[in-house]
Amino acid sequence: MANSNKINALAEALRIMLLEEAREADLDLSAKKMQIILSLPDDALDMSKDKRRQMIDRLFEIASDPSLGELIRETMKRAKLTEANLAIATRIPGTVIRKLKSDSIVPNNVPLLLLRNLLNQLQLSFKVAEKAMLKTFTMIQKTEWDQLKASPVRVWARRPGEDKGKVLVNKAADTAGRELYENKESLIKYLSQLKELMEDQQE
Amino acid sequence: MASFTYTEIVKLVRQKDRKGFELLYNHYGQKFFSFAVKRWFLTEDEAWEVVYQTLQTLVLKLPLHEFESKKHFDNFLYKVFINYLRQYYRRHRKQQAEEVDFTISLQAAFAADEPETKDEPASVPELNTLAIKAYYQEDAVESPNLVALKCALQQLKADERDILLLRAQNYTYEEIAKMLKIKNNQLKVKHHRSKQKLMQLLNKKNANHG
Repeated sequence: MANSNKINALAEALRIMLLEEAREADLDLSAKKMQIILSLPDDALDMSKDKRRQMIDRLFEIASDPSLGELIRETMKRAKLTEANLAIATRIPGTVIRKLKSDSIVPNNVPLLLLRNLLNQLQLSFKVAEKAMLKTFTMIQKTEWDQLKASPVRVWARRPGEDKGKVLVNKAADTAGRELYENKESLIKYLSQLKELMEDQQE
Repeated sequence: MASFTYTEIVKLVRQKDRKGFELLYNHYGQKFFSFAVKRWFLTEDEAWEVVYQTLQTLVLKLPLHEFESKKHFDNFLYKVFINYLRQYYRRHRKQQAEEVDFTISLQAAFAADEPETKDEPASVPELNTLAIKAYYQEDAVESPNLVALKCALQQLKADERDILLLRAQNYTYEEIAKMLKIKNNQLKVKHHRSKQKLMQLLNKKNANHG
């Protein structure tokens, strides 16, 4: 970022307005703003070829790795398994299996033993499942989390001890709308326990 | 470059066809990159991250979501992009505030870019610079000053508002004239008068609340 020891206060306040109004932008306003971005002049900057290739490679890789939901769907189809059969064999409720299939639930919501049953039933190795579960976690985190942060539904409250009328702060916690264990650290711990459990069963 | 619709790009990405990812970058990523660097002063590395996070979010969203129309697609992409832009912009303004003599001068802001007009200069209201600095520190800080500015902006005519917001993003008068399909020759004066009008509205609000 360009270093400047003076920032135009009005322009900066207007930029803040722009950043904030995006949260509440309706379809028409977003379309108008996108049009401005996409109709940049001909001298638009581009990144280096290497950086560009790196970005496309990484995006391609992310899309190519299967999520847990994709793995379950593909394996069920290949093995001609129904949700009802899988629910009985794994003791995972049908509703939870449906959520796992659609990648709409963080995998560590499922008790370890039951998830182990599921992987066994689908004959999925820990290594394959681990990568898929991490992708599912990122998918959920990215899609729901970003929407939550960009959402116009915000809770405003006065910050304690602040001068009267000076600053209002969003009090919505970073974990709003999530269970405490739905974070990466908990998932890593869960995966480590799952790995041990699956290794124990092989011995 | 052949033109592709968003549905064609989405279809190729869903099919995990590499061409789809290239098109996604060409149609959106590159524009976002240029916008972040030229309009928001991000470094190329920062802009790379913003674009990558934005496109990654879209790529991960696609298997789970069907967009009803181009407007819905644009709405999603725009909000995600601005969300990451906001995060990076705030983070680095915050760093900048710690590293350099961070002086926000509204007087200087108003004096700069001053065209020769016979208008009386508007008196400059106190814009609480603490509110701007606080914005870099906390997620979604909003101050009465910024709310007043938002209200004042809403009272301007659409073209006055557009000129002010586009100039704040460093678009040249020539670019603004093209975008708004208006003549360039009076744009500088119009920009100045829009600022004057905005300041008068803010002064009025301050007087009412003072």
